[in-house]
Amino acid sequence: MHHSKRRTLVIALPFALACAAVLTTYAALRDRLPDPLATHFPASGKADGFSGAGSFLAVAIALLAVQGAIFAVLAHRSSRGTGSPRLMVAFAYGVSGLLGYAFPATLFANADVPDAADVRFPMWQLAVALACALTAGGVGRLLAGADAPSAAGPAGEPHRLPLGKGEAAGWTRTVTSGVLLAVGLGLAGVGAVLAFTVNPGSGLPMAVVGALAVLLSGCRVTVDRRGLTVSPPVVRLPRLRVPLGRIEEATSRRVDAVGDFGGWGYRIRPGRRGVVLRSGDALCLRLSTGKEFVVTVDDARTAAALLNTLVDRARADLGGDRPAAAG
Amino acid sequence: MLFTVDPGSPVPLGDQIAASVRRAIADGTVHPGERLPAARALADSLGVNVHTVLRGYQRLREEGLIELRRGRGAVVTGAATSAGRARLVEGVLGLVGQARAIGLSDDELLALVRNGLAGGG
Repeated sequence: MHHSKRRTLVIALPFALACAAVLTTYAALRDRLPDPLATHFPASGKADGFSGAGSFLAVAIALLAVQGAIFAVLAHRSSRGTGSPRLMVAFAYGVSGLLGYAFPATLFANADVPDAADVRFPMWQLAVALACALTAGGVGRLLAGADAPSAAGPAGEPHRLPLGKGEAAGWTRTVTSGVLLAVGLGLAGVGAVLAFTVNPGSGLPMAVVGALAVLLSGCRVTVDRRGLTVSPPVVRLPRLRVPLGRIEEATSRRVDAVGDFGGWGYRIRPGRRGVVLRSGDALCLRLSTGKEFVVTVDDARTAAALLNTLVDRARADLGGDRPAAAG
Repeated sequence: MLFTVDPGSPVPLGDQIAASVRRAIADGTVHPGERLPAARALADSLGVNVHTVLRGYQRLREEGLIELRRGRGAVVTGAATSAGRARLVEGVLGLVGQARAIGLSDDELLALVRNGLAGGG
């Protein structure tokens, strides 16, 4: 628990600092700012969007506070399991570093300019903001400490399925992610509404991302003589396949999406990867490279047993055909 | 859902595939409304002809256990009694097997079944 609290504080710190930076900058400059402020600048650097100081501050603080809260929750949940929050901490520092520079810099750009329309925010400001983000990210990475070695949850026992000599067998199931589906539908809906009511430019990207999330929210998991295959529920491609030759052993166990993998979707952690669509029963492969590959799916125990049997059979076939042991 | 086929068995491959689906429905591994794998995908998985799989799916459709819908593929019928029905069909096939094993003709078996229906009430 001590470990978890430290990590949560470490990840919330930069957001608090960024909020403090915004507020102290405003406090120092408030008498020298035009009303309203220039707050939006396209590539040319000339101001094209304005808002009152109050709304600007409210948006800035809200953005930082919400992001800080989300990262804090993720950090708290991830250190309970195994996970690798080092990248996440670095990212959190990077984001807060970017905003922690950009918001005060906007205020400084507005200082001592009587008419907000004359405020300039040139492109090099963006470069500086990114530099801040990268530096902050580096600091975050250092502060996060070393990643805990991936202590996997209690590994299941490798089972086998009784399969006759000439018998062919296959196992297949679909799995859906409620989270991805809900988020995808929400984004697609909001995007569609924006595209129709405001203008296509603002809604279309969001609608497309939402549609993609919905399409990828489910998949079909198949175990057969070709190995493990993960594919979209309806079409054949794109698909992910792990051939029998690359599999050492298959087991099943319960995984926690956020705690063990930091979220949903195609997840990458030190020493393990996976298609994690929901918490719960999962098929866990130990690959010949030593790494782990995980797919969350119901009845993973049967899938693992079949996979072990097929791997045994493939090894036996190889052993029979070739007199020399495979390198 | 687990499918096993034994090319060495006298039972036709299509019937074996139907039996695998029937078992999955009977023991609740597959729920009403759930979609079965596409015939081509299952055929590739097991290394059999796609028409073999289609024959198996047709059989299940005739038994009222699945529906074949355009665009959606094979779907387990949504009736709450699906599992019971699957077990019943398994029972029927077992009955037929037993009857044949002791040399009973089809008519004799049907007469026994009619007796059972009349008497049981």
